[in-house]
Amino acid sequence: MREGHHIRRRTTVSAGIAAALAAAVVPGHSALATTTGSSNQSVTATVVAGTLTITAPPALVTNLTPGTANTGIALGSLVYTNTLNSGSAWSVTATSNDWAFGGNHIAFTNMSFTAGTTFVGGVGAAGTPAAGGGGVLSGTDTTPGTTQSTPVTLATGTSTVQGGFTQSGSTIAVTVPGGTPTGAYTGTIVYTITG
Amino acid sequence: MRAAWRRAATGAAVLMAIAGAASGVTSAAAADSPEYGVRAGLTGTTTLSKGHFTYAVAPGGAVVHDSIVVSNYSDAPLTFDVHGADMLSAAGGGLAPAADGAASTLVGAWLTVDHPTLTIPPHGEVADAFTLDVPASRQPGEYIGAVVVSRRAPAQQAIGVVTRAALTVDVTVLGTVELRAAAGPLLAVQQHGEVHFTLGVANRGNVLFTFSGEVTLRDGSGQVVATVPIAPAGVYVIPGGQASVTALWHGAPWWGRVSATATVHARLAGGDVKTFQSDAVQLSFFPWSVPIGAGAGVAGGLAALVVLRRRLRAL
Repeated sequence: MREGHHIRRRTTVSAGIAAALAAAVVPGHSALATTTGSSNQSVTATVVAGTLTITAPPALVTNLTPGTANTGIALGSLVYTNTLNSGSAWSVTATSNDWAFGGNHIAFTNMSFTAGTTFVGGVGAAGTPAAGGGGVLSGTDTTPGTTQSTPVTLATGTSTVQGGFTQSGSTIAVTVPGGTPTGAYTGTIVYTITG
Repeated sequence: MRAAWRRAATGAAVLMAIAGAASGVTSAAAADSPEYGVRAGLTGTTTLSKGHFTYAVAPGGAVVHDSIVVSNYSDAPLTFDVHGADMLSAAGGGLAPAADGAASTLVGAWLTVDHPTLTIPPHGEVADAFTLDVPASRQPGEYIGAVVVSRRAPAQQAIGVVTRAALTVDVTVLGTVELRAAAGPLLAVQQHGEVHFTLGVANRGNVLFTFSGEVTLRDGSGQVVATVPIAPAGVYVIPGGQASVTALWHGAPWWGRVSATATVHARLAGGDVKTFQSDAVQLSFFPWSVPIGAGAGVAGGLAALVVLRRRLRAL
């Protein structure tokens, strides 16, 4: 009697387990519990839109000697970022207008840029830009002291070159014609990143 | 002697101080963190990952609307000038937009921004909409320009430094317009009484288009039982590009068969519209949970009976 009661109870338990297993295969009725100690952390990471930035070196302060080429004037480091991943090549260029003091000008055609060849990539940068050819500034100087020259190239990047970069070593040479009056000349150098 | 001194003095005197920093030119200093940045307005909000400002348009004139986003990463408000410009080849291998203030004759002249001057608060960003109005007289060909954002330099008495960030605008006026799209595959996933559709739309023509559309559901007799719009509407697709859109059908039936077809209305900037359809997808609805549940119940019952019978035989 006592043993028969035990068997009946085991039978009932077995039937219950079978029913539970059967229920487990019905969608929406999971009866199996996991016994492992691991757990999962759901992750949703969004890569935000890229950007195109440029940060100029400090303003230029130098002394120029008339009648000479005044070469190798350091422009400072130029910092720029291209993370647009636009599929296009990109460029960093420079222009200048005439430098003026009163009615006197040093024409931009007397200036030339040499691109720096030292590039330092920021964290995560892919590839390295190439130094541009620089060159002598040119263009039609319709309003001396205001008109910007045509651009010269300081750096170029292929579409796969992406990230933040610091370019160092760029210089400008300014030939000051003999007889140019002394004075504090003003002008504007424009750095452009095009992506 | 006096003349010699004068020549020497002249030579020395024309040492020119090209001053700058003292006059308050901010010019960003050479900090590693940028002051500002630019990107296309739709970056990250469409399935288009590249070539946002690449427009292929029909001859006879076209109008395109888009925007550029300018971000101020600095702790102070910044003011910018925004404008279109023709693109120039730069000596030494690069490209650059024409100088600010230079007269444009092509893309720079066709492009008008809503706000030519922007002042952006610290750590803020502003989307500046622009309209590209390609003249009807323009001959087929590719025209390159840019949307230029110039960091406005404060007035100064020195050699100032100005920076500009420019996004290339590439306009192709087509000789022969081929507006052609491929709609599909149309994929459907049934879940909790809803059907989620995903549709690929590819531009197989040579002209940029925007599109809208819908998924039409018909029963076995061809009767339309529902029409659901695809989203987002107004997505643009460049030639060779593709986009993925979705549609959601609420209230799918428990029982029956339905045919789903997507219709895409591709629209040129000039206004022409063409319609394209996907292949039909057959959807079957059946309350599978009922027979599965019943079958599982029967199986469970049978298993229990078998176990019970074995135990009883063992007594």
